[in-house]
Amino acid sequence: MPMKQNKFSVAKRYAKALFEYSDEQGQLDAVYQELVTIQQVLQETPDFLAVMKLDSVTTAEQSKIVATLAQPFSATTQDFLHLVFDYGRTADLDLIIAEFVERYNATQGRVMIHAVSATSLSAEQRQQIGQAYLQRFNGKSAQVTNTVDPELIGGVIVEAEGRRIDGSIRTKLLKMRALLAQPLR
Amino acid sequence: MSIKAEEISALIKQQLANYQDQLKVEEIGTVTYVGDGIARAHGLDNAMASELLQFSNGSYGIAQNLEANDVGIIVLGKFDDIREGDTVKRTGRIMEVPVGDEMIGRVVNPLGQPVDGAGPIHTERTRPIESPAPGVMQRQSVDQPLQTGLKTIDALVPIGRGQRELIIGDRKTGKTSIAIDTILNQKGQDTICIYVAIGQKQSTVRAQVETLRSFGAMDYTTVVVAGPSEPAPMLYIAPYAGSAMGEDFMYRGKHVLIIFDDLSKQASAYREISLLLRRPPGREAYPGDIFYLHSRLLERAAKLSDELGGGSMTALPIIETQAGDISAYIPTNVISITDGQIFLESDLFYSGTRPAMDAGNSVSRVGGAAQIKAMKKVAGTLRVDLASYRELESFAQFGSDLDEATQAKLNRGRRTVEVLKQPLHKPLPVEKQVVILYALTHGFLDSVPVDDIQRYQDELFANFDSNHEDLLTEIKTTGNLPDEAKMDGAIKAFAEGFTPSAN
Repeated sequence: MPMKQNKFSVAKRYAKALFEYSDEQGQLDAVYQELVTIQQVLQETPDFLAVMKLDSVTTAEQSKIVATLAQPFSATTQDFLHLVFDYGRTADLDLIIAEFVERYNATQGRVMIHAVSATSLSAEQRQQIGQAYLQRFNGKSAQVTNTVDPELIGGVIVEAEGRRIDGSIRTKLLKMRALLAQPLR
Repeated sequence: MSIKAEEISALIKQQLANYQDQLKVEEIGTVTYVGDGIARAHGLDNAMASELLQFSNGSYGIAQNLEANDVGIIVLGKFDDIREGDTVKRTGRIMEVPVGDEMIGRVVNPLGQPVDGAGPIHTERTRPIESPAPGVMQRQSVDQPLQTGLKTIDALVPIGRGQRELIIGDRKTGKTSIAIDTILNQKGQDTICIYVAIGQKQSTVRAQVETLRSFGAMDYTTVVVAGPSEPAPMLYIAPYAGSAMGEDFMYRGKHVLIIFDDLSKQASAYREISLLLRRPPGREAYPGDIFYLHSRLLERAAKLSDELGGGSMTALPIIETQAGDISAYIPTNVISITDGQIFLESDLFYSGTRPAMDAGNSVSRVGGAAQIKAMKKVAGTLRVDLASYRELESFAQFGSDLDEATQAKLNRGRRTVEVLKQPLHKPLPVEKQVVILYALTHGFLDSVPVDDIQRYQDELFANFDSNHEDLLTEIKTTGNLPDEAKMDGAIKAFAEGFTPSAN
């Protein structure tokens, strides 16, 4: 199809190729660890992706930056980073890694859970959330990340695998308000 | 009046009693694009086609395109405060509108919300806007007339209950007037009317609602309005919402008349949505499923079998043509879907023949079976008379030496055209139509000057009302033509007393 591919489907393809290749090479876990590290680097230096998108930065200069990024890693990961660069997809590296991680987690039965709460959750609370989720849905292990949003007032919103379980006080109050705003019969 | 605190708190308690504290698992996606009444969302892996979705600002949307990475959504309502990154959640339902007797007399938008300022509508039931049309075994053939009250239509292109008859013509040829007059004539006929105004100017709709109200027609009519300033998705769903409201009555054994005014604007709205959703454009840039858009809508009009209560839904879709071109894409589509068409011509309209129906191009494919016997008898030769008159008319302009037979035909033709004229918002009951057409086809009008025909008709009706009510009731109740000698006698007696205007 001559239509331009959007970045999501491109990311899926690269992630799938890397996943299957590293699985064949028996390096799946190593590559995963390395990609997680790269993901951290990308989060810490948001300029990296921005620079990769810029036309005003020459390819040679971009190449140098990628080489620096790739240096500490295994041969497989290095080859992958260079290949992605040669095809001009480095700007979508974050999406590719995210897809890879998702794929890896799915095969390992690991569920990434994101919990939003009014006050920060203790390690024990996080574990309980993870256990509760696994009991209800499929999965072997759960990893719970937590962000704090004081506007929730209380309770917790759990998001995982495109599902959302909203148990926040704010939502309950909004529902109650909608109910009270209804005209009387 | 004093307000008591206990009363208020009791009311609040009562409302809060409905509050259920339940955790729900929601399936969510993320908006990646929004604009022009459509949005795209990443995620929502399990969303189904046409499923209702809810944005975080409270607006609803309908899933249209289910693609590998995202879902194309049409937004119903406000979309200017939806942002990239907002969440969309599945509702697991398809869109529904409120239905029931409470909708009668109201003006609502395509979501079923009142826009007439007369307070909330307390309906108990809802119905999905898309529902499968009745199948073969659930139908029966159309055999009851739906009287429009317009002589030219009831005589030449009769419409039956459950039929789909297209009203087609250029702008300003009286399409809407025919529809409104038909609604007016349903008074006391135990028929529920639904008028769906799609992309009509709000001022026009207001005027029409006022017309309906002043003739007492709002007592059995619901008006569904999707104005031109509303986003295209609202225009697209309006006829389906109207059909859902009509179907509710039909499946409860009632007769329904539904008017879609007009489907060309709905097709344009759907084209807009489809292009924005990046569906491939076809002829005239309409998407590939534009035929299905109208066929699935009009197929829902039906005459139900007796086991299902024998209700019916008659559809009068309206299509606006450009410069009389009925071979454009949308007109040909809808002509092929419907059971006939009423073709209105601007030349006729401006020459004063109103309703400006072109008898040659207008047909009704099933209506003949739905005409009362008396009407069939008097209107049988009308179409041929008109056709031969139109043919002779052009010849007659060249010479004056015509033989007597030709002269007679021309005479009859001129009077036929005159009789079929009818003023706005003055629908005629079928028995009176039969009387005047009887007088015409039996030659009583041949000696009346053309200019006096309208007056002759009015006085004839007045005469029948006062002296021959038995004949009118006979037509009305039995559907048969009374004894010819009686009819002839009555009309002759009147004709003797009729004085043509002197000039």
